[in-house]
Amino acid sequence: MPTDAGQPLESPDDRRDLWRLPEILEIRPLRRRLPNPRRLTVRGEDRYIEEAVEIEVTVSEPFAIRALGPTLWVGEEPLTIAELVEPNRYRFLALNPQSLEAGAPIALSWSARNAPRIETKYRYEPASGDEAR
Amino acid sequence: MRVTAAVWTGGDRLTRPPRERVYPGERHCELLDCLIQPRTFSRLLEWAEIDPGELLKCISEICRDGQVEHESLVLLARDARLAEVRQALCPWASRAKGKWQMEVSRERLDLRDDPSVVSPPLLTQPIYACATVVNVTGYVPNADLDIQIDGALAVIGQPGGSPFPFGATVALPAALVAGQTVEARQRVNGVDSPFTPPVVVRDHTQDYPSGPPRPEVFPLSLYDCGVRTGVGNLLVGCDVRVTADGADRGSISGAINPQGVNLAPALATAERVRAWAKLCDDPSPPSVEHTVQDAPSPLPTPGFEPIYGGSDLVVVNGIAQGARFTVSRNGTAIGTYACWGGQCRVGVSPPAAAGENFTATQQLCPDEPSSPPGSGIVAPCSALPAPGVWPVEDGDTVVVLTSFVPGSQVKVFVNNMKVGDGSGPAVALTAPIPHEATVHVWQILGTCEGSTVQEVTAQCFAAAAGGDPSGLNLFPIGTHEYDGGQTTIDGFTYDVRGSIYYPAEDDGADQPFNARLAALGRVPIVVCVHGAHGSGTPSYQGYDYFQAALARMGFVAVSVDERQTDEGPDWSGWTQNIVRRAELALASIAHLQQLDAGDPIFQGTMDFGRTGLMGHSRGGDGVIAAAERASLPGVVIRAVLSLAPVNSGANSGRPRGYPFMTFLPAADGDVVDNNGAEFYDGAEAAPIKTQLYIDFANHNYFNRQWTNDDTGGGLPIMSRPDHERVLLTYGSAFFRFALRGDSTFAYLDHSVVPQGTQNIHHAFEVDDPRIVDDYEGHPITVDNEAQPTSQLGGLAAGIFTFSQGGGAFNSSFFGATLGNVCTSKEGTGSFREPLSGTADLGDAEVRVRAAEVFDAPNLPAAPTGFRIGVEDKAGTTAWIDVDDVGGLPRPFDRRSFDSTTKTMLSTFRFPGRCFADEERNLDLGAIVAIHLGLDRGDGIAIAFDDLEIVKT
Repeated sequence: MPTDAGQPLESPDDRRDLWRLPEILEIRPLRRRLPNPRRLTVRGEDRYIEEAVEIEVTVSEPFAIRALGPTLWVGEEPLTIAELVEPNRYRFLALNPQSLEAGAPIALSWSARNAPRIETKYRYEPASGDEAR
Repeated sequence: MRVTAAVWTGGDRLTRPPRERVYPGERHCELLDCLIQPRTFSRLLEWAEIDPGELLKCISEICRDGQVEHESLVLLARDARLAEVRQALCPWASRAKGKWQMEVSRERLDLRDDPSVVSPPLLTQPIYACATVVNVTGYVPNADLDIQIDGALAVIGQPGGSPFPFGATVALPAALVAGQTVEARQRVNGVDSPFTPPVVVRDHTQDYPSGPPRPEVFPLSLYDCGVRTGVGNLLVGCDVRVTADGADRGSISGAINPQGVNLAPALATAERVRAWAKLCDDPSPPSVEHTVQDAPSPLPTPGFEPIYGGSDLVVVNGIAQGARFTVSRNGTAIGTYACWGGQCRVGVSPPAAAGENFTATQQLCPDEPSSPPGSGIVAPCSALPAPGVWPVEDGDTVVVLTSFVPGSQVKVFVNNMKVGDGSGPAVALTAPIPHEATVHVWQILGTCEGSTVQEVTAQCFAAAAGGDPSGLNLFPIGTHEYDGGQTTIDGFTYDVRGSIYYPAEDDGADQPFNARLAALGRVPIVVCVHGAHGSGTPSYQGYDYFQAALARMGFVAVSVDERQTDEGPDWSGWTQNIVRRAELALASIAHLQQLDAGDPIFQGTMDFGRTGLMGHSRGGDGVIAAAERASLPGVVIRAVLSLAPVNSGANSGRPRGYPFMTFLPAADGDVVDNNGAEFYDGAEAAPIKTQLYIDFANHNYFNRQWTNDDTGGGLPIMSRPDHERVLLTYGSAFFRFALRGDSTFAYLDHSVVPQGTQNIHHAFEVDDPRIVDDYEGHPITVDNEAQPTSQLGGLAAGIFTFSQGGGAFNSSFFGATLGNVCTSKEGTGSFREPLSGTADLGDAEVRVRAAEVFDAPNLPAAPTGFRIGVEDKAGTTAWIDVDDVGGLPRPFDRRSFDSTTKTMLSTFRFPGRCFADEERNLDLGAIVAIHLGLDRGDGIAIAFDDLEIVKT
């Protein structure tokens, strides 16, 4: 009898480990003027920013697409809004850049209240000319 | 009458799909039932060859509480000290299922079987004009039935035969006319029952303005050579016919629901079969078209439902639709019958005797061999169990059975006095059940009298057994995939597309909109927004079952294809991704408006002033944002259902201006914080907000395209059909009430429980309550009415945030509000909350949200509870225990999975009448204070919020 190649019943999306986080390979803080005003929504209210403090993170693999999103922690400050700039490279936006403390440890987690944080070897160092503390 | 499950809507009684698997929680409760009911337990051990050690090992593993050593359990069981075993094991289950109901020996009771007490039977309602028959159920087997029309006897002494499965069809001398009244009674051994309350005959167009509902051919496969089928979803008294390739094959004038129809000539492979109904010459739409298939060969072996000595009928199961089956008794054939498939009843005479052997074979085409024979051995009469009973509430006039042996007679006793004599599934009583009465329910099968009875304690409040709010099947379903071009949001370009399910002239893609419905006016729309699951998954197709249900009942149901928002650059934007999801949904609504303006199918069909939103996961956050951002002319969001939402900040967190519902899957493996609780706390009750905390539900199984268990097997999960049933029933009830004003509100405030749902804990609030205390804006020393509170009898109360973060009692709270946590190590502590002036609880309830506080890491073995007291001007206080209104649920245990076992509050209703029943001296019209009482003495903290008085 010929051998059937088999038909997957789940897509690759369905087999991922929801709680797996990629390894951070590189971190680079940025302060930049945005080419176009960017909309930021806080508690349902939109505002637009033209300059941003961001932390660019290179990771070992993409984040799993799921309900929760990734959170980059700078000390106790969570950065939840990210932009994928190229495969495996994200820029996390600091809504309150003044609260980013130089030397603060950087960790990664999912955006649940008590989700475990993966500590990294990195610490936050403001970009040159950055007004953050 | 609190019975609302009177109408069979087709499809689920005989053909309920098998569960994917029995999930541990349910198994747990089944096993506990064994322990609670000694006879059942004993029977399982002795007859089914179940090893007691293995059984108890299984239970102890499931319970995980580790409070009792396995060996001890075995010893206890062998000593038949079953009550101790039960008490030792998982007491939350016994709290939920055992306290109010227990199977007990009849011998020790002094039940007075007064032969003069005979229940009125039940008349299937509504009754419509032009009907030439009525359907009577709930009578004693073989009773004679009388029908009275406008006060005059119209039918006298019709033999009722067996009330199983669907009662008697009683032909009337003339077709009914709107406005007439119909009553029924039964006669048993020369004793007449009272008549049923009169039922006023209605014109069916009052309830079905676009014509009779759509018949349902039983959804079992139709086979070559089939000679009978069943048709459901009928109005009693209608005419029904079945066609094959357009030619009549069988018909019944004056049908009941469901109705068996014999087919001649027999069906042939590839024929297309439909059913049609008509009442008052008003035709229904045709049923779904079914194609006749070749019969499997061999046909499956039939089986038998349990047969008990004394029974005058047997029920054969596993029959193919349309097959002939032959039943033999001890090797001698007693008859060949046609069956609509599934289960079929066969009368036997003389009654079955213990040890007899019944066999059955089935056959479709004469030239094909019969199936192998299946057999059933008659069990002795002593094995006949007591019937199962739905929770009974003070004042009930009907007892609803959850299980009974087919063909049995059921007698009901209140405080040992007989008040009912009829049959399942419901027995009408000759008097209302008094407060805290002890009710015994006993079944008799032919010559066999059950040796045990079900003992039930009437509760102060017990949600009634409901029907299926998603079962309204009126119209064929049309489908349409729309393409509304592209839109750009935040620099991302999206295709505006999705699927529309709508009431149509016939089933299929791009069918014309149903003309009769359209002629009555525009219909409401529901827009579904999926969450993030990867752009390779067609997530928008995952709610097709819900869309179909809504379309069947007359809504336009849309699901927006938001896969492009699942792509990495967009998805990683979190809050902004969810805002874009909301705006893409609004872009779809704008396109729907264009369709409504000029599309050949949809022109003039949609009422955007009655728009509802359902969102799941990120979509659940998104639909609240969409409601806040909707500014399209003519679009008014009238209802939002947020299913397992995240809370990203994309909206205000305060749903308002519309009825709001949220689902919190207690076993959510993705949105582990159950963020919907924050939305519930922030929502306005306009006029209601409601939250369903659903045990054993995960994140994904509400979407048919999300195939994986998001807990990865880490938590016990109910089956996918059970998930879908929650969305179908509660979602349908919600949108029917909010968008169309249908009478489904009772499902939202937990007055009624839909068929087939369980383990759901409700929180709800209606508009304009008298808020005694919500613990906001004042210290614990006063309440909302600015009256000084008191902490009495060793109780300690304090206001805490019921959320994550600072000010919380502990880390188990996941809402967004403040509340009161009480603890008491003594037996009678209470927190007294005085009122400003008096309250009249005569037609009012005390409502409070409450929960057992989970104090990590331990989950106590024993359940806990509280009681509510009301104090009148004279200082008289009456108390009602939470166990008398449903009981305090245990926290859903997630400890094996993560650290988010939660304190999740449910709403409890304490009707004023119960306090008056409890304390005769209480002046219910002059209540001056309400007490939160902790009387368990177990030191377990109880969380309270939203203490209110609500007029009913």
